[in-house]
Amino acid sequence: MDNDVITAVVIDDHEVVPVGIRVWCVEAKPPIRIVDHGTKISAAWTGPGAQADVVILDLGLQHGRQAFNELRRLNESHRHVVVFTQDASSKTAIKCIDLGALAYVTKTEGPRHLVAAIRAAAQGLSYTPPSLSGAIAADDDPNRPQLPRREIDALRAWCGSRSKSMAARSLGISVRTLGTYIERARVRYASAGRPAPTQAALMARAIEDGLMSIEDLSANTSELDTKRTDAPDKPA
Amino acid sequence: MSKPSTSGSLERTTRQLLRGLRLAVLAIAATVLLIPLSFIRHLQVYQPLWPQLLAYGTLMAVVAAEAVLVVRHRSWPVIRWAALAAVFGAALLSRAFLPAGATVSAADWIFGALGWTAAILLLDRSLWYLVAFLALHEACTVVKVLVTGPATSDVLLNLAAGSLGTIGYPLASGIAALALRRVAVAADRASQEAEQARTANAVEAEVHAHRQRRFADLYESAGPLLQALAERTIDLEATDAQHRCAVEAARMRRLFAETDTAADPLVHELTQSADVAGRKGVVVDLEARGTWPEMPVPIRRALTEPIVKAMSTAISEARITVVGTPGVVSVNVVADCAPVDIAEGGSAVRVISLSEDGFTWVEAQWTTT
Repeated sequence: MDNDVITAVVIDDHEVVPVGIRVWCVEAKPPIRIVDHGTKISAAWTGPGAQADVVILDLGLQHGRQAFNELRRLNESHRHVVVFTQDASSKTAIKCIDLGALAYVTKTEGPRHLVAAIRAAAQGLSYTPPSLSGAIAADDDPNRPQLPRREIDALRAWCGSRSKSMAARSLGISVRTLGTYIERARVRYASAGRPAPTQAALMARAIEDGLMSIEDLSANTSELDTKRTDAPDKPA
Repeated sequence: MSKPSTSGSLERTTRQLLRGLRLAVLAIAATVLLIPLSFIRHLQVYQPLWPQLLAYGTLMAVVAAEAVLVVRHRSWPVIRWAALAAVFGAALLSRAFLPAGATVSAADWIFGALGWTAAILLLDRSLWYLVAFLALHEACTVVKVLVTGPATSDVLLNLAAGSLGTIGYPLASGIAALALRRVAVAADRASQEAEQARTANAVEAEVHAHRQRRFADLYESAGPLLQALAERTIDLEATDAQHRCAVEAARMRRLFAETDTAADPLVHELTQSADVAGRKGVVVDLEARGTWPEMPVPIRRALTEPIVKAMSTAISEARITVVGTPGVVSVNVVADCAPVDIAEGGSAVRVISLSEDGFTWVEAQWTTT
């Protein structure tokens, strides 16, 4: 078996969903291998699923109860979780990244964003699809991290447009800079809540890569300097 | 159905109606006190004199305060209850120092004056307060006569005759006030209803004018098209004609939606436009994030117009997003549609249109601050 192939386990209460995801993953280049699926969270803890690089978790697991506790426990065990859900509400999306999900993809966003999210998550990186981007940009919670204007603009443009290149063109910046702004906003969110293990890893990574400094994270309310906009972007 | 009147307007109406009665009661109380024939005639009877002067001063103070309040069109503040206690105390004091047997005699000046002073203080309150006060005063008088005075037939006759005046007249003024208060409630309700009718008429006129203006706008664009359709001078096979029809259909839907009082008019209008596209077989996804302030109709139109245009040429899919962030409302559509030429949406709304891989993204952005 090829050790480089990304493996994932799907937890979803609709039998048809893992079938669809499996097709998307097989068609992805390079392919992603779905090692197991189940309607209960146990599939992520036992059997082949326990070793999967990424857990694809449907939130509406058990009879209307949302799987926040399951998400928290996975994160506490340093599992990389992509939430894949029908629930498009901004509140739920923010809550999930607060609990340590590396990505929040709505089911209407389709294979393009889900596959990108799985790839990022396999490396412990976050991925911000358009819906989540809009949810963060429009978050009006009084306790939200203060985002600089250009990060909000980047999130909003990415949410409304079709591609990062379009969004970047509309703002007159490079795709890489746009990615940096989005990534920074995500890291700010990761540092604002109780830093969960995956979030702490995200922050450490952002600092290591020169994306942000510790001062940036602590001075959440101040406008950041623009010097580091050419810092290496994450493969978002 | 009429709205329950606000306590403010009822209070105002009541005050206006009670004003005449209030003046009358003040005049009577002042006359009773200021022409103190019995008081002056019996000065030598009062031993000592100070309790009478103190009691007289207390009642005069209430009358003077009422005069000031009437001039200023004000009602009694909470101090009324302290004033009421003070005048009752004055009565007890005056009675206590009257010579034996003088109660209800001509020397008992406060017997006639107290009721009117109480009426001043209680005229705009429930009648029961005045009834209770007068009853208490009468009870004290009767007890005083029975305990200290010689309960001769003359004295009892004086008591009965005096009581008619001391209870009857102030009570009559209280009953008149009650009747006036009831009239005030009815008058206030009537005036409220009239006010509501006037407001409803004004609103209806404004809505009508607004509707006329909107339809005038519609006729300008849809009119020629409808005429061309009727005269069959338009080629319905032509893509351009189909496009024009689609745009006008969406525009009409949007105008009809404007009359709705949907919770969020912006999203509601976009939904309506999305419906039109949906009926053409376009899969439309609409997503709204965040909040935005209420906006003037021209701004809302400038925001939705580019989206409507883009949707009208969408072939199979469209994704509409509305994002409200502090100070900015952004309305977007990404669709497999023809590039949209950007008419300037007005200085407040900025429109951009970018195309890539057969998809066009149109954004209309309004900076609210």
